[in-house]
Amino acid sequence: MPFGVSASDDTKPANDFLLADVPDPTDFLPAAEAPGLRSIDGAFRCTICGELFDGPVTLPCGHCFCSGCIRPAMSHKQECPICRKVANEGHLRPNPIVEEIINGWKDARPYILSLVKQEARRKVADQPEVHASPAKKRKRSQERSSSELGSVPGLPHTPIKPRSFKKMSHSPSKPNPVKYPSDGGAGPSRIPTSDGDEEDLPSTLGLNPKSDDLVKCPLCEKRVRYKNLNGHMDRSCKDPVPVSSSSQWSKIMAPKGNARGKQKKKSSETDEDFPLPKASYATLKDKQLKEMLQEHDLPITGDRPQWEQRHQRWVMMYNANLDRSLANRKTKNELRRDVKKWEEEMSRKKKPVVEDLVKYQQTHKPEFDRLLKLAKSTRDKSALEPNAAPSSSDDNHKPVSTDASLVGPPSSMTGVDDVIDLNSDKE
Amino acid sequence: MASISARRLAKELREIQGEGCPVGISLLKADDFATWWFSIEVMGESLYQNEAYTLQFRFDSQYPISSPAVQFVVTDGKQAPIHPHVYSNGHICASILGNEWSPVLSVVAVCVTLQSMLASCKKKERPTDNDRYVRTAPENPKKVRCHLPKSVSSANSFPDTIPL
Ligand SMILES: [Zn+2]
Ligand SMILES: [Zn+2]
Ligand SMILES: [Zn+2]
Repeated sequence: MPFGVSASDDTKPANDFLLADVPDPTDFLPAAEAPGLRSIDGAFRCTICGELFDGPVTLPCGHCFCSGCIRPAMSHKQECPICRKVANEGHLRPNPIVEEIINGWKDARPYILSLVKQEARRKVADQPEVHASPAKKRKRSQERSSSELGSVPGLPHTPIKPRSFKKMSHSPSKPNPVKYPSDGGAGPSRIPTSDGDEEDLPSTLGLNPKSDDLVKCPLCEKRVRYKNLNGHMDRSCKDPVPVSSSSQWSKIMAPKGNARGKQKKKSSETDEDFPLPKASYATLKDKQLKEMLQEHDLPITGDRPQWEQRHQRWVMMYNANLDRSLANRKTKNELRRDVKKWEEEMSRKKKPVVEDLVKYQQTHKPEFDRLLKLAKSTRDKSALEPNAAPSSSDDNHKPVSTDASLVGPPSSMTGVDDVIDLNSDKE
Repeated sequence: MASISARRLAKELREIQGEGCPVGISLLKADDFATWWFSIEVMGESLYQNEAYTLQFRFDSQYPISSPAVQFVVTDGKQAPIHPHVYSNGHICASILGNEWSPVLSVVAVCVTLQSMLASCKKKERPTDNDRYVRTAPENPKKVRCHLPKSVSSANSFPDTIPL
């Protein structure tokens, strides 16, 4: 692919994933010990991406998704992914209230988590000798959260009861044909939800933020990395200009001398509130398509299919962005950057094919290992759980063997060649 | 920010490894975000008692918008279960793996559905067109449209969520 990896702070390449976390509702204690928190955190997440809603939109059935998640899903299939009621992009309505709630939750989440940990630490300090007993819920909660802190290793603690698996563990020997809920009442199995927004990391709470922490700019209230804060304020709250190694993208995204290219601020874009129409590419000549890209300051590198994908993605992201409230809306340059990142991802992951598999695995090894470690630490905690756990789901805890029991299948099986998605218009 | 597919899979992995899988299902191998393997076994009374099968999931960059490519492993002495919707090459005719896929489904939800598919089987037999299909089938099961009657629907794949 023609685009290089950008080096700017805000354009985060894949290795930034190493810094990301995969927080999810189980960061909070179960309802018995911390009523409501886990379900709130779960309810605030999009069931497609598992992140806190970004630009939440509601369908006629009432189900809510990130605008940027449901739009591509609808280009595959025009229905609600949860209840399967027919719906299309024209049905999407922004949900500013949910968005506001999410904004508040993003601030509250790390704060609450830190309070919970403080409390646990305090109680452990008060009461160093605790013994697991099903009758003493309060105690067990202390133990668990304390071991989460890593301060009291080895203490037994209660298992985290997954919301989704609890009910999925029904005996499959008696398959009961659960229908898709047609009333939109019950949701689907919740995907393991979590959220990696840096904003959610408890570290943002610290009185002494680290250089990479996101802090709120006291002037414009936008979140910026602490290390960039001074520069940001020096620039009167204008976004730093991304530096791209790809000439086309960088030309487009770099500040221009002329009036048009002047680094736009959000406010100057709010007059352009109308969604872009979708194009029917089959009827467009190359020249027209190029013009359509250039009209939005998008590069015309690559071939015709790439132009179409780029334009299509742009329209999707542009329209999804309009579903964010003004304060949360991205600038066009940010959107262009997102399109560019998306293209880079596509080119990296488009074909994890046979010949690339080894390389692919090497490339992704660090982030994978990191996640594995993270996940394992969660698991190890549950491995320490006493059998006294008041549920049968303990037999669900099967250790993952990353090595033995199944050595990879022969090469004929490992390659994913071009996957033709039945309904995809992107292939 | 890592790609949406990697993040989604990371979340699923965290849940699987943190909370375990439903009974009869276990993660065998997941060393990257391209291919995962699960062991799947039908618990309780069924035609497949004491039989464990290996399921392979392959993900592309569009996951979860596009479905994973799912099939039974039929190499290294492993076999696909004998079932009216499972071809001897491991391909599975299940609508949730094709046009009934929904991006809110998860890997574990697919496992549970397939487990139920086996559990509810009345007669162990291959699909009627098994030989023809296997002769001409592409390597990737996603390239094939499922055409068997009464293919496995997504019915069982959406267990109730706990009310929020
Ligand atoms: Zn989403
Ligand atoms: Zn719905
Ligand atoms: Zn500012």
